[in-house]
Amino acid sequence: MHPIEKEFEERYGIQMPTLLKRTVWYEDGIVKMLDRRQLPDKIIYLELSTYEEVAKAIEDMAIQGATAIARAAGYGMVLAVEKNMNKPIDDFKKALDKAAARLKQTRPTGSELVPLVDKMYKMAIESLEKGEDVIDKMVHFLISHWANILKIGMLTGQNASKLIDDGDTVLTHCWGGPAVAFMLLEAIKQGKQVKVVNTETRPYLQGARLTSLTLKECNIKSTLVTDNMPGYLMWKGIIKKVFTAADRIALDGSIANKIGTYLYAIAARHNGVPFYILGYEGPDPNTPTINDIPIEERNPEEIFYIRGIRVAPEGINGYYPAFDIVPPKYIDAIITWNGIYPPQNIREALKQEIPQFY
Amino acid sequence: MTEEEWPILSKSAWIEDDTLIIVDETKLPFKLEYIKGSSYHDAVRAIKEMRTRAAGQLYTVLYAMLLTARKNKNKKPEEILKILKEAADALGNARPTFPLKAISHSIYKYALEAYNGGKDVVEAVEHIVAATIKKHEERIMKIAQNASQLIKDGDTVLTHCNISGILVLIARECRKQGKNVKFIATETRPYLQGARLTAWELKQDGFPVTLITDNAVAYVMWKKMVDLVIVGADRCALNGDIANKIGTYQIAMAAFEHNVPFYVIAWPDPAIPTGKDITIEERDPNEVLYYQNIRLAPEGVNAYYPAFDVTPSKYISGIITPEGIYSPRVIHLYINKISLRRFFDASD
Repeated sequence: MHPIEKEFEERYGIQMPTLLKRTVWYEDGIVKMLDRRQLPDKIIYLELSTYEEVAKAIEDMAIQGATAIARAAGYGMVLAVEKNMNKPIDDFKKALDKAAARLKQTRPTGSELVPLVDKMYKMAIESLEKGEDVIDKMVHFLISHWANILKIGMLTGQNASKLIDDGDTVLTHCWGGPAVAFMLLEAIKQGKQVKVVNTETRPYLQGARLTSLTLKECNIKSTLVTDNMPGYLMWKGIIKKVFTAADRIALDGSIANKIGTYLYAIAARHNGVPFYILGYEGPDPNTPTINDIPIEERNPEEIFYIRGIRVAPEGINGYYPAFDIVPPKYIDAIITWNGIYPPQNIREALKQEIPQFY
Repeated sequence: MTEEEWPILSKSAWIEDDTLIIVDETKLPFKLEYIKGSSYHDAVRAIKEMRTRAAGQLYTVLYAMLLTARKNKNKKPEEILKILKEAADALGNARPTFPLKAISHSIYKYALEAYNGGKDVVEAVEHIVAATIKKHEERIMKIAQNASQLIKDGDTVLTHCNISGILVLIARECRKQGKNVKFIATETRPYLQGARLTAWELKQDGFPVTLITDNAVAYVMWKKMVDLVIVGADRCALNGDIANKIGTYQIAMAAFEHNVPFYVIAWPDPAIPTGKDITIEERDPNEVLYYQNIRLAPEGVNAYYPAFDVTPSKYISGIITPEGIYSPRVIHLYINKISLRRFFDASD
């Protein structure tokens, strides 16, 4: 058991939920990946033996969440290195270039993917040149990456829990990762009563399947609603706060997150409900403004189905932007591992370097 | 489908050989199936199970009242009236948000007045049902004509849920006027009326339609893909607030933020002063937790399913009525022109 898992169990008195554990790892030449599309009904691990298979699994939504996607791509790099490490250095670099380019192309909106793949690339070349056990080094880095992100999620959740008042019902959209669970567990630890309303999050139903599952594993009561209900629940005065994660935070305080987040930010503003972003590590230093956030548009066929059942007639068009952007004026605060920031001041979160916790 | 035919969803129940036929909207777009009913009880069930909805309910209630009258025509008039009253009550209470009771009781009252005036009860029901439907259809055509005036050549109209064929009629009006119009339809969870009905009926008529999930509306407005919003309403209060399919309110807020005009097809209900006075139906949460027989969330998770929401008048650019397009702030004046009672009472 990793020390952070121990810390978790001791602090909260429950087992670590499925989605906070490692859901992608390397084992004897293959990458195992929890297939999140099958949750909560089935726990199935994909066995991927090439970086191409990893890339395809990322594209096909077997994994989700910006940092988990980045880490999966990192494991794709491990497979690429393993396959090519006995080649002459130029051929090795060429093969690795190809793998890195492929993995970086899988999903454009999250900010963690490209830097992590670049980091793995550099690490592979350097450690090969030094004659180190390159696979071992990369794998260890990725395990630490998971543990560090979890720790960052814990700190983010602890900061965010201060914003929750006793008796609150909070709304969340999609699955916002570990910080959502930590925020709620911390609030409960502080003796606050807190209830959760979560959107189902069409088309992939990450809310219904992943958020509901994780909250259930944390013994936290949740109420599922469809994506068209949050406005009404705010109008009724049921929702006291909104918390979502972000796949990318720009330096101007705008954020990109799962499609629908912008809609809820507008609804929250019109109903006087505070709207908060769980910002983990903070903004992406390479994304200056709202205009620099790429929005992934996926195959419209994906919205024509619910859990494999066709819901739309043949012969019509669809449009499936996977994310939307919330301008800073709708955001009351961005909560990171090191503090709570007005979106306009989010650059300040970068002043402090993130420690290597593990 | 020819231009002269009514869109199927605008006329989705009728009587054939003493059998009530109702289009089963839950089977669309994959199968066009009909529910066959022999009494008003079958109509009540079809409404409760949402196999018919929106304007389909109007036809279902009217024809269920007519069928009840016809089936009992050999009984004494007092008995027929008693049965009609029972039918009107049952139909009126099938679902709370659409004004079912106003419809069913207007038929009953007309029959009662006929009886008091010494006239034949069944004949009176025949007359009032036919007249109400004729009037309704004239009004729907006027609404389509008025709405078409709001649309410019090349516009994209975003809509939510399904307005029972009226959108098709609006699109046809635009086509007649030589205007191209495109549609964006929200899928409308959990029953997917947008995906199954709106996208389907527009496509049937050859109009371009793009489906989006309910959470994508603000983004498509942000991308300037939407020129105006047109939705229906299940209720309209005298202060211009409206109740419509859950999700309408947040679409209205998104439209407001993006300066996209937001229009509602509605007529006010004189019994409802404000949006807060509208009863919002809350349905079985299992309808959110399951899609067909597949459970979407883990066991032990709760759900909440309000079927409608209220959009305050400040978000509404105009209310489209048969008599014209009214600002929601003056919609109460419209009551003087034509009241709900008069709408469902074609005797004048």
